Amino acid sequence: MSAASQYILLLSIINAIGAWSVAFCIRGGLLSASHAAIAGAGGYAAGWTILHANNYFLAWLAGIGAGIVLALVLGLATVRIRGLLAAVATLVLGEALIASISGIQALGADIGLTGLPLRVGLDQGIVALAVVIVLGMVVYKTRLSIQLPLLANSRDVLASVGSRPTSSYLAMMAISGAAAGIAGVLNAFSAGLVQPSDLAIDTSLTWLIYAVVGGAFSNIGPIVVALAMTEIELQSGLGEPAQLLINGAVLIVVLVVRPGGLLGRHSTRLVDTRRRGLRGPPTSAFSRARWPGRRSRAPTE
Amino acid sequence: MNLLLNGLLDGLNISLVAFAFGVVWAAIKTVNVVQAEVIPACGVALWVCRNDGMLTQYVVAILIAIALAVASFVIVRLVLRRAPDPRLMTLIVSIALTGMIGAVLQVITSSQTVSPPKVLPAGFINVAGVTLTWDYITAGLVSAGLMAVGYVVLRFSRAGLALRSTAHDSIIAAANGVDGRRVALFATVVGFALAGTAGIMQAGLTHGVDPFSGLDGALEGIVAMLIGGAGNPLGAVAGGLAVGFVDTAVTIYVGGTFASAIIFAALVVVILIRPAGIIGEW
Repeated sequence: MSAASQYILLLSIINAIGAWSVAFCIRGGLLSASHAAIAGAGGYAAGWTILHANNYFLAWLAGIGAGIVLALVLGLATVRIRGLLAAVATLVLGEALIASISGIQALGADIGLTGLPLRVGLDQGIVALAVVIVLGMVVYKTRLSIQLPLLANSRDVLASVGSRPTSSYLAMMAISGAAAGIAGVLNAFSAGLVQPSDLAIDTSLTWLIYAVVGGAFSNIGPIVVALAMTEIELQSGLGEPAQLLINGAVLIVVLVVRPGGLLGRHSTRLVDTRRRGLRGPPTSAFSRARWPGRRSRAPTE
Repeated sequence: MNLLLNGLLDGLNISLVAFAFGVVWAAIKTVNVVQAEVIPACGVALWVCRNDGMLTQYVVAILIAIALAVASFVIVRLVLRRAPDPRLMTLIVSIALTGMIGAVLQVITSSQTVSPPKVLPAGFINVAGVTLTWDYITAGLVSAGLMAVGYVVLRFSRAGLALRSTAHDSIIAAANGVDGRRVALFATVVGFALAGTAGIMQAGLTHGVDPFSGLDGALEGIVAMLIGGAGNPLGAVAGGLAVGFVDTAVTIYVGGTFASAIIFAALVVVILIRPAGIIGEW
């Protein structure tokens, strides 16, 4: 595989991880338009760390940590609001972060951090993608996977079963932020620089489209769609206008034909509370089958 | 005085954009982000028709805004037939449409900033020691006039009554014979036309139309709408003036780079303390 093809595949992996992080938030009811900003912050943290501490492992930790911290800040700002207001708040926060970073001289201002070592290759990108997929599979086996749809649909129900909606929401944001931070670090060390334009809302919206097209409730749907669409667009040499047209058209067609996403559950519900393993509604505490020592008897005349 | 007058004029322009978003919000309780692309689209339309008469330029620009309104309305309704959660779905679809329209604008302008013909008067005037340019004054007066007309229509006309009733309670309004789809279409067309007018004036103020400006340029209007009170025309005015004053003050005393960050921080504070906005929803 040529170096150019490897780089394109690496970019596809970065988009795939970013799309997964956005999809994870959508499961919890948050339509985020600032995940590129979170990823960019992770890239800046990793870049600053490698330039000043010259420790690659520490740079990775810093990048992922910055992603988690920023995602938690976003989570705290949006925990009390839902739906459209939360989506607009994420949009706004992303723009605010870009505007702020562009004015900080220590981070290179408009030029960004340059001279970063090119330490990431395709193999590391594949490992990072595998980590994210495994993370999704692990989360699927935990209570959080059940809490997320309730978080999106009804926080009162979530609270009534003993869970704390705020804790679940922040856990969702932390996991999503970690994934975005991984994408940001990959981007920084594969390109050798990180700029304010890396935090642009356009990237966030592209990840959002991949997440919706792939299926927000699927672990691999957004990843597969992001890999495929990025590969096709970059390998074919399509310009940015053509990419925007294709992304938009694909999204609209998928929403009309298969609202749950190409690899998501075929459901007309944005939030699908069905889950494998659940046999139906829990039995009533007053059900005969639950009373110890009682046997079912036929009614007597 | 410089801060007061320039903030006022800047705020009125932002208020018009906020008012445009607010009209659509009142009908469908969400933001149609395609309105953001109408602003540079009308500026590009002026540039394309630059060799024609001024009236032709205005008419073409407004017709393009209305065409985009109808197109986005139809596509969104098509998607909503099968998709749940109409508010978020409208936002997602409108984001996709915004990208597509932006792509078309990039192709038309070859991704360059274009200079449309001057639509606002040139010159300046000195008021209380502050130099104001006639283009800003004209844009501010036009914005104020349009918002005043819009308020009167919404307050005293049958269509306005239908829109207000739908904004208050769409179910009760429907039960009383108000056709929600027609109201949504009416609000979308009016909102897009107002956004188109804002786009024409912005093209005159900035002396250049950036095809990439779309969403970035409209964010202040969206923020102003949410700060003032979504769907409320008085809220749009209040929010726009507040954003205009803050923007001007920060630019003068701190620096333009942090103006956006401070405005957006103010939005987060308002959302946390009073989600309905300063004045509240209609």
